[in-house]
Amino acid sequence: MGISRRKFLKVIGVAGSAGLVGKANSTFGVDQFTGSPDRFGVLTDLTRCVGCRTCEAACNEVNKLPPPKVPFEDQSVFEQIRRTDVNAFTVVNRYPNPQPGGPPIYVKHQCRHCDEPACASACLVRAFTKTQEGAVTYNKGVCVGCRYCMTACPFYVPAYEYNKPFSPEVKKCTMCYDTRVSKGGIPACVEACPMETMTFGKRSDLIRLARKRIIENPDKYIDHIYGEQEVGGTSWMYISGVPFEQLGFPMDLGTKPYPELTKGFLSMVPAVLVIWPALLGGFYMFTQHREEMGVSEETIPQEKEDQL
Amino acid sequence: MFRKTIIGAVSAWVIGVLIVSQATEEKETSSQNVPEVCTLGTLSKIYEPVLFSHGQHTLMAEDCATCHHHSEPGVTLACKECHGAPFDPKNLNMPGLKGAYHLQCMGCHQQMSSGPVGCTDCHAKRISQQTGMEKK
Repeated sequence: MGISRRKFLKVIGVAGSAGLVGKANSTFGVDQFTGSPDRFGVLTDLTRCVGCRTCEAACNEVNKLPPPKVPFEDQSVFEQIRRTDVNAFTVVNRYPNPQPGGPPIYVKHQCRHCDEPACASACLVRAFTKTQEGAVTYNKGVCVGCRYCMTACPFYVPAYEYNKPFSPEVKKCTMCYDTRVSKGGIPACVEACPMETMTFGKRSDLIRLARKRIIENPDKYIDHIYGEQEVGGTSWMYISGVPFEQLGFPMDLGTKPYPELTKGFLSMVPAVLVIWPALLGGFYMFTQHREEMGVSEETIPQEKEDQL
Repeated sequence: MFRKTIIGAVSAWVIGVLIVSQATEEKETSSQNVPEVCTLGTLSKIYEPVLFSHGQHTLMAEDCATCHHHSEPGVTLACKECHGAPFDPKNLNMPGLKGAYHLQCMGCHQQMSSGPVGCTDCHAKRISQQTGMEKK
């Protein structure tokens, strides 16, 4: 007999674990989100926005947010780049036009409703859901306030109610899911915009529309749809006449969805927690039994020697 | 006799004015009634209706089709004949009425660097229910 029983079991155990690793990677690693093909999206045409902030006012109204410190007609807010806030689910920021004498570019910033949201993946309690309609919604009932979603979001979107110690919530754009989109309506900001900067429709149709606009007006647009593939694709997409890096868009996100960075090894945790104790416990039992056997084996030769 | 002369002269004058006013209409739609002022009030929730000086723009534009675009030659339709509700899935590139107004009007004003481009330049703000939007 070439191999001991102990060695054989060890080899089998390691091979089994290795096999499980391979299986986990292939099962849970996805390259492209293919769920809910009819999901909606919003295409924002940055050549149209004039910075009137009617979208911000509409969002404020439908979400029953408190009136802002600075009224929406006030253009002085554009002097600083703003982030989304617990009382401002969307903000418009102004960027200078790289072409001298050109009008400034206004960029509406809000949750991008990613196809594979980092916030949903990071959440400990599954408070975020990517709905069939495309909106990423938040369930305040299960949230524990850990704010991992805020750390995970590559666009710095979720805001937290630090000023409410007893019932804080994470606040972000909901794509007006509960009040409008789930009932066949369109988000309030999209409806309010006088310039139809934003177009609401099926994400697949919007990509075609964006491509059409870019092809028909090659001098007007940069040949890129931001959000088509960034972080695996987002429902809220942008086309622009000015390079995106000059408009505050993060350009280093890549096309791999954020959940995929952690799905591989995280999905193995339950398997490891079940199998390793069983395997190692098995090894322990065998070595115990072996030691017991070893004690009696040690004494026998001594007796045999005595007999001899 | 004098009265008849007066009546005749006045009638001739009136007819003459009518003929002259018709003759100076050099547009294709000269036979139709070209409005002088249009009140654009279908979408007036936040703002008062726009009093659009259509007559002034007809003098500036060489051709009706400059603004009344994408229709057959000689056909002049009001904006709302084609632009209805926005985001029709079959025609996503066609703006709705509000978007069409702003894109067409402000687009030209921006391009020509003349003409109103601010919100209240064309329509005054209503005192609305919306918090944050009220005039302070």
